[in-house]
Amino acid sequence: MTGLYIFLKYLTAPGALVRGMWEQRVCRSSKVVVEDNRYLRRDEMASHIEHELMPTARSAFAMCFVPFFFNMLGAFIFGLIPAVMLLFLQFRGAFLGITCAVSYWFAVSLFCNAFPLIEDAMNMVDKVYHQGNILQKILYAPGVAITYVGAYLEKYSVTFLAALVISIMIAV
Amino acid sequence: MDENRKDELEAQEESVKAEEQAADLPEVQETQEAPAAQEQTSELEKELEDIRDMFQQELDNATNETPLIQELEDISEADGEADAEEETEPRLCECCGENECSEKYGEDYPYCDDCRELMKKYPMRWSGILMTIVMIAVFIASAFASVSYAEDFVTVADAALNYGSGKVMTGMTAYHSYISSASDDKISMKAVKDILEGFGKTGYITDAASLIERIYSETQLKMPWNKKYADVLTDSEILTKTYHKVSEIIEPVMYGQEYDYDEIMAGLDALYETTPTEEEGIEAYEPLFIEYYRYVVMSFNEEPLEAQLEQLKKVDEINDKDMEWAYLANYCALAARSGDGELVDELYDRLLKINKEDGNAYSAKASYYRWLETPDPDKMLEVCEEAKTNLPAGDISYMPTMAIAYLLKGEGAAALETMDEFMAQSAYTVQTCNLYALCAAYNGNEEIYDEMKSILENSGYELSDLVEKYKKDKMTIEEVLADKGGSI
Repeated sequence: MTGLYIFLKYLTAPGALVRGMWEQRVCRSSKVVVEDNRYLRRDEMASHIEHELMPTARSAFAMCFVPFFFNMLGAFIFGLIPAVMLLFLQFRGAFLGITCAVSYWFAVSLFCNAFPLIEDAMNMVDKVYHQGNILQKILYAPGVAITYVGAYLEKYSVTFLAALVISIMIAV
Repeated sequence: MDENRKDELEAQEESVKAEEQAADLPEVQETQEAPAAQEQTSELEKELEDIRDMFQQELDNATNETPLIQELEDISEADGEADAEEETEPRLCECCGENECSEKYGEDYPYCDDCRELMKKYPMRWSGILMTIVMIAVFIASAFASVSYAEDFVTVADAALNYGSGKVMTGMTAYHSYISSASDDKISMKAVKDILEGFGKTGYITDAASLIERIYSETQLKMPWNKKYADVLTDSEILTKTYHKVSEIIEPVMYGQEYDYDEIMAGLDALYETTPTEEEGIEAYEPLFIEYYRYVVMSFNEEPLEAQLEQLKKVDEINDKDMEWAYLANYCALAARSGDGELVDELYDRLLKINKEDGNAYSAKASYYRWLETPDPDKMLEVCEEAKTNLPAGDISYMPTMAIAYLLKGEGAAALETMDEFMAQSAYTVQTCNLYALCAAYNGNEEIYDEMKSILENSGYELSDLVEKYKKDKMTIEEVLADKGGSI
């Protein structure tokens, strides 16, 4: 399973690099120690950076939600044109075909690397629901739920499968 | 007391004697069997030596292992010493290897305060930033490439949405105008696939074939995923050849010439047994077409309604190529005339499932309510409203039925207004002229009545007897509209 996970991370390397970049950005903003900032490692940390646990509810939530949000936004933006032009309406044309195909690969790779590491997700749940105030518990709830579930889905490569299914549904 | 002591001494002397006797016995045996005993003794001694050697060996082994144990002991001692040293010497930072580890963050914290501060500002890697820039660049390139397709995109997207929502005719019209002007190297394959499917649904099978020949090369058509398009070419060929053959047979019927009904039907039946010529290039004629044209001949020959219905049922049963376009609308209209509400509903649903914009479906359903023993004009109007909503813009084929419904409801003014609008936008036919004249007669509008009568007469037709009888008060409006003759 880990082999498949790492293989898919390398297959979706662009998204993995961007995800790692966002994680490091959040660590810097939250002043959290980063121990290893390689974005694409050949282990279960692929697409994630090694850092100390986020100390507060806010930073723990940001660590999971900010990269998720920007990767998802990127996936939507980069995927919209190719999904419509290439998959749905299926326009012919070499330049359009190549640029849209690459753009769609970027979109899928961002989607497949949107979710946090399980440890970060667990730390987020712990911090938000044990140290967070009532407002944080309410406001963060949807984000916590999505990213927490997503972390498990990504661990078992379900997100890649979902991307494939969505692509086929648009095309057929 | 002395006697007791004496007894004890005697007992001791006896036991000593017994022991001496027992000890003497082996000696006697030894003397008797001396060579055998010596042999046994030497064997025993040998065994004892073996045992001694074995024990000695074990002892030596145990002695040899002692250094290992000693080593372990030495290690633990060394650890103890190291711990002791650690207790005294500070732990160095894992990052810089120079400063002492900070203990503010736990006993085993591996970094010093300086490194910790620096690691909070770990420099960003270029790979992530570069990848983001590349992604944006590719996105801009794809957007730039898409701009030249903007006009096509709007047309095809609109057509696709209409087609996808069941508005087949609207979608097909838009697709058709797009495909006829699009260049093949930039064409939308979605448009091609949808219009081919639409052609299949509506019966434009030859148009489908020519589009396939235009878009797909012979090699592409041999690919398994393009098999359905290759099949369309074959089907098109079969249907065209069958149609030509059938047309030859039923020509007298279609052109109003004299004909022998049984001979025509036998001719159609014979097509099952006829092998197409080499020129025709097909294996057999299409059975569905043969059966459908049997119905057409029955219809022209005014065979009983039940027999015609039975024939169309047969056609429906043998349909295995989604060829509902050939017969389903007629089947529904015939079911409406026969008054079989259940069958009308079933066929009406099937027609709308294929094409929500099928005017024939609405017409057949409304006719069913018109020809009930007690007509239901409200239901007719409901169906007309549904048609108005679903039919493509400009399709006003539901209006005459709506006018009939108003007449049946007794709303003459609404009926005339509807027909005014309809006649202003449509070509005149015998049926619509008769209906317009009927509406005019209902409202006492002599001008329109006379105009319609004159138009028909000038075209070589006459105003329907039913309309004239109504005008002369010889028939009620219900009686006129209950007629299934087709003049109104």
